[in-house]
Amino acid sequence: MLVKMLPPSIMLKNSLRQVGSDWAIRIRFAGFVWNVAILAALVTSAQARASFDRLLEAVVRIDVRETSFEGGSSRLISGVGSGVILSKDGLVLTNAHVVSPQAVDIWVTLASLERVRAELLGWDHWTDLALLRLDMEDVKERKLRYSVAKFGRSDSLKPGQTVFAAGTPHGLSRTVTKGIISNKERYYRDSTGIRGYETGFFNTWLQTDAAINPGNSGGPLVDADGRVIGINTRTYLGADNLGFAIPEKTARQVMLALESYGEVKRSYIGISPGFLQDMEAFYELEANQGLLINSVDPGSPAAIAGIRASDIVLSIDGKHFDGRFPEQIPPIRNLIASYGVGEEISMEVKRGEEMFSVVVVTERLESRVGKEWAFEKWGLTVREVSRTFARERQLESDDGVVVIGTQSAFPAEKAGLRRGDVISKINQMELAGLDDLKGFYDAYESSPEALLMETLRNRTVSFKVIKP
Amino acid sequence: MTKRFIRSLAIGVIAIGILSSKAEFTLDELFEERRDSVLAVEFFVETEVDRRPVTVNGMVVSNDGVLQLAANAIPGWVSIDKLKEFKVYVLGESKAYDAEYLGSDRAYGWHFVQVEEVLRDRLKPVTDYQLAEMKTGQSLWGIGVAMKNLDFKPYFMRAEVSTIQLLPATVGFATREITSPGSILFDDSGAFAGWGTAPLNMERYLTIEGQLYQAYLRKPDQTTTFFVASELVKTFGGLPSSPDSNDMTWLGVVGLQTIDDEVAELMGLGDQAAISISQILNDSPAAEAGLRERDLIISIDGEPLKRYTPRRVAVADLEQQIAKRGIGETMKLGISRDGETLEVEIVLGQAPKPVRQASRFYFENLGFTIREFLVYDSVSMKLDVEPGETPGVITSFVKTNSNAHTGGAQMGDLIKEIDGVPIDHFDQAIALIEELEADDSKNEFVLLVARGADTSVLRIALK
Repeated sequence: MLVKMLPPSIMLKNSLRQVGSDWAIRIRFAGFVWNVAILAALVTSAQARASFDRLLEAVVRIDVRETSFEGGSSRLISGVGSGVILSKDGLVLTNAHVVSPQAVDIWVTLASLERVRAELLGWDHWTDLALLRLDMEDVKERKLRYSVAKFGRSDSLKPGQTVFAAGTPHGLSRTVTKGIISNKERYYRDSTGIRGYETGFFNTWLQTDAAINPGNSGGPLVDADGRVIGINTRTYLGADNLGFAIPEKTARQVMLALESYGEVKRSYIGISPGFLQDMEAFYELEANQGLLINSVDPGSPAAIAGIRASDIVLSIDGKHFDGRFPEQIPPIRNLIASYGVGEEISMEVKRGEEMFSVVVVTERLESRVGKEWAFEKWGLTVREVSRTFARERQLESDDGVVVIGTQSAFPAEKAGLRRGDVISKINQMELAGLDDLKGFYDAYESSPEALLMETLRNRTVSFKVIKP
Repeated sequence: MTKRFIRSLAIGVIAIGILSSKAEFTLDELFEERRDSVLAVEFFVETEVDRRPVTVNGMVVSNDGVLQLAANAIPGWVSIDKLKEFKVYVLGESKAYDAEYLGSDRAYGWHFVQVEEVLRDRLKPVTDYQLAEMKTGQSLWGIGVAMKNLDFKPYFMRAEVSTIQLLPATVGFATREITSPGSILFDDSGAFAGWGTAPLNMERYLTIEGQLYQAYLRKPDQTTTFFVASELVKTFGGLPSSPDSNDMTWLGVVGLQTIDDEVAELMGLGDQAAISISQILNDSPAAEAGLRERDLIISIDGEPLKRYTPRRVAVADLEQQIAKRGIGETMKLGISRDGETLEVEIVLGQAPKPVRQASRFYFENLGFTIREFLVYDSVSMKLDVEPGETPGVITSFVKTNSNAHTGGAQMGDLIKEIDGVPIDHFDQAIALIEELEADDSKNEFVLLVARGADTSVLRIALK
């Protein structure tokens, strides 16, 4: 017990002294057995201290400059976060909301206060993770040293267990805060949580009361031995000590995929599950079984296969599961997502009294956020309309681009374009996507001529003229 | 030649009127007489859980005690049978007289209320007065109406004409507040000059503890804008046959937008005003006549669209021109389509049932109201509904802390299924829920509702 409760660095001397004095009195009574126990405890605590120190040496600060397309022009913005080195060859795990593919340069500050460049290997906003690699040539050349953190096991965590959040908020030195695991599988999802990208659909989160500051993002959540059991991601502003971290189990899988493929491939079938919560009786289900379908995306594989809202999926490829409560949903979503793209999934479905099987052919999962671009001379930034975005906005097709920003007194703003307008046609020609618009822009750049845009907002059509 | 003659004659007559009336009456005499052309009207809007009192002003428009109220005096979504206990008050008196709601004018939306007979003789219709000639800078006076706790006491107000605009109604703007909304104003000879509209929002900046705020302020009981009487009286007389009649005409187009001057120029329309059509509803007169989405309307019955300032007023003008016509009347629209001009003749149909006439049913024990699905719902919910198809019923009210509320029902939900049964008829939905409520073996039931692009399964407790 003593070892588990060991607090980090500064407290160490005190606690040893306490062990020496308070416990010494008891030892006389307890005799030999106690002596051995104390000795063992001291040895392990020293080891723990060493591994905790090693962890702190593996925590890095990350400075990012990235392109932002908000506001009608591309501009560089900078941000700071934390990360943790997880391999000798310089892999650094951090948050997707710290480093995104729009990063232009990434600087990592090691515990030795040396700075080294890093590159993004891949990101996964769904789990809020990004993987970087240090510039290893530079590391070797400058003989930079760092230590490597080790993963623990998030599965074996117990609520109430002491954990520490490490990071580099507001500066270079390492900050450690202490708390407990408040909840092992907190359900939290947000369809625009990471700069407009979705997050939390395929994983649950560790909840801790260890204080997580904004700059702590991407830093590790560790156990008393300094083993990484999660990556800190977010805190509830305005709430007291509600911090969330991605569990090690998810982080390890995502890290592997990002290292190998630069992305996590996931499949999509177009269902939104609900929580069955006490509805088993209504649906005449065997106890603790089934997944309630709240919503089916029109035109999605599930819709094509004939699945409808309020159906109950009883099994996926013969596997039964329990979808009664919110935290049980992400693993089921993850199961579906883990199928290959184009693979067949057979599902047993219950609709009222009726039971039947369907085969759903998966599609590739896409984010609601499409590719972004800036048209500087127009003072216009746009994003490609994705399938998900089109569905969300109830657009008739996923053609066109959506305005995400205009710069004041530039042609786009003067024409009356506003954030959220979908540009559907240019000079009476259908606009399929970003590349089409780039074509018109190039033509405009070489010979500026008035351009007629057709835009949609809430199914209302407007015409706008971009003038040189 | 004759026109000019008539005009000069009219001006002459008015001039004589001014001179003679100036000689005869003082302002306080005029005020004392004209205050009986305005009454305060009070009524209640009854909802599922409460009754809200509303007080507005109305002007007397006929000898048989008919008052005309502003179009916004009564919320458009309230069904007629939820408008209760119409009462009127003579300004400055506390006695309430009974009144009856007569309905609204289909073209302009004015509401009409008729007062009980005992009061009728005391009232002075505005149609008895001469009409004022309106000039910029002219001094006008109006009757302000105080709050109910002051017995709606009338008070004198004065301001000058600042400008007059076509919006598309002829609207006057005064240099400051000149009357109360729904009350009236005159020139110094006592000629009828205008009818107070809803007040405008005035942009203001507030500094509170060093923090700057932008605010829009508006006086609830005084206004600077008014309908110009000489044009307003031409719209009088649109009394409906019954309060609940639906003789509204429609075209069946949605998302009408005026196009900018630059767009018109680029489309080869020169300086011709034009209105673009975003959406054409299935089975509507516009669809039958062959109008297409993205068509540009450039003329009505051969008359080119007027170029208003601001431009968007043209849409209101078109809508009013449709509303003025009767069901079955035709309208010729000049259309510009792909650079070509054509004329389309449209037979105006009866507008779909308005929200205020929709059937509703309140389930008191469950705490929610369902309302029949209307054509307008398919527009606002962006549903592509086939003609004659009903995709469900609408949740139009949810009582706080009721079973429906706890179960997650929200106002505006489209209920698609009740306990697994697809809903395609309003009465069917009522029957199903009543059956569920009567079934003692049931503790709860399930609703499938659509909200935006998604659906949700809700569980509602029956007990």
